[in-house]
Amino acid sequence: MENNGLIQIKGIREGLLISAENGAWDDRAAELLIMVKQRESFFKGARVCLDVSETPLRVKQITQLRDQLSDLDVTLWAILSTSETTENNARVLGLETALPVKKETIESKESNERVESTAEKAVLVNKTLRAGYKVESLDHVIIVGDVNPGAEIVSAGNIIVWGKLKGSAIAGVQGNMKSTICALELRPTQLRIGEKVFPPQQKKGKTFPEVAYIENDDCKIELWNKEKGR
Amino acid sequence: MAAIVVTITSGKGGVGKTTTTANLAVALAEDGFKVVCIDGDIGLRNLDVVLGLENRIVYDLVDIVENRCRIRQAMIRDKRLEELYLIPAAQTRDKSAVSPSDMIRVCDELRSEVDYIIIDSPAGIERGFRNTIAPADIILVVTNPEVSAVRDADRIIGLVEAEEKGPAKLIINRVNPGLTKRGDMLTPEDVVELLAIELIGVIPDDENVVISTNRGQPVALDPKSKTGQAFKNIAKRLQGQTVPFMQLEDKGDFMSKVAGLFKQGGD
Ligand SMILES: Nc1ncnc2c1ncn2[C@@H]1O[C@H](COP(=O)(O)OP(=O)(O)OP(=O)(O)O)[C@@H](O)[C@H]1O
Ligand SMILES: [Mg+2]
Repeated sequence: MENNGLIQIKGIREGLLISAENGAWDDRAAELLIMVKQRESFFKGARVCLDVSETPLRVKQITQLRDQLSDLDVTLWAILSTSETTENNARVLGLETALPVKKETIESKESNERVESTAEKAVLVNKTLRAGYKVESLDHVIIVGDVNPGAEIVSAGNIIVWGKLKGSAIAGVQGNMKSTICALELRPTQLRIGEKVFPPQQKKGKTFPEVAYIENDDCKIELWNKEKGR
Repeated sequence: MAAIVVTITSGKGGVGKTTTTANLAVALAEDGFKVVCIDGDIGLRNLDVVLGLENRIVYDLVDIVENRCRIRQAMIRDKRLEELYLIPAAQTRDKSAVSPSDMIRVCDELRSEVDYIIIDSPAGIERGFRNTIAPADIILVVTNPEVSAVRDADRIIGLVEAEEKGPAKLIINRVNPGLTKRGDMLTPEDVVELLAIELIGVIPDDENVVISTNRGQPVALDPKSKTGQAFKNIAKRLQGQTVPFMQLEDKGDFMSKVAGLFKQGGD
């Protein structure tokens, strides 16, 4: 691990993880660029995930750094932050905002043992997810808006879409087969709970709020109109 | 004068950005405005060809940015219309020769002298795209009534929102009533329902566009062309006028349905 005060670097499976958590953003960005320039051969071709902790970053700040890094042949592919602004802006630019959710929880369990969700919190996204957006969370995910084709939601818990779900949704990604996916209009490109992919559905005419779940290893979709304890 | 900068973009290639830029510029110039179009597709320039000004290029956008000429020197005046100018793209350089701040600087310098600056974007969402949206006041997203083009348009609209340049306005190009009727293509209503932004133009699929492009004579110059009229209507709507969406002749009533969708916006 490298440490010069503002910036820390370590190697991870996905490339380099650079933490720039403290200080004014402009200083941190400048510091990072100096460091990359000084050690050009080390950084050349690197894929970098940047942890900015709680710093709220505007799209312009992210694009500027991404462009400056790409001029130095360094690819910024992810930004980790606890700031919702930063996460949203990064997503919109097509950057990842989390390291891939590991699947080992699923693999280490016996096949029919249920993995209980630890998700009790929820991520709330108050807008339509357009193509290219991805929301990935260990918590439940609630979207107030549509999920357009080409957008994707991945959750370890449940997914609720207060709008049309036309993109892809994966609930219970770590293996909680009790997870559900509901939407006011369920017309997904792909629907998955855990490892189970729902068969494509033909939809015509009027649509109703529906909920998708797994029962006895079967994919079920029914009207989302009753309290069923789901 | 304080120019309005209008950027034409799409995501997917080949949907009609350059065609739209040329025709919109012609239509605005015909309405008496002073218009400059800028070809932002560095390395793949072709707005000059569509406008028929190819053989008059001396300097280009990269020359301006790299201070080899003044903006004035790179502005080619169209001989057919009093106040229409083109700043061509460089053919031999790549997109990195121009940065978003260069584009803002060039447009700011022009703003006091013209009414409209119309910028043609390259396909994609990379540097060239960011160059062209950086100076924009209004962004027009062009799509075709096809699933893949609409998907890319959706992506672009999201990016435009993120860059706080939204909401973008929508142009649906190459609408073919015969094909939509048979269900082989999306209807304009389908496209608008999905993208959920304001519609500012519907352009028919018309082989004369290809012919006129090859001759360097945008269809908007032809007073008899219906397609030209569709581009002129966009120019009017840009100026804040209310223009009904036109009926595509003998093709049933689906355009009136489109019109019905936009009661508050247009007709
Ligand atoms: N309404 C139309 N009807 C028929 N053909 C059209 C129409 N609009 C555009 N075209 C044709 O489609 C082709 C692509 O158009 P154009 O070059 O304007 O697209 P573009 O989006 O600028 O492409 P690129 O992404 O390569 O820059 C051209 O041959 C053009 O003549
Ligand atoms: Mg073009």
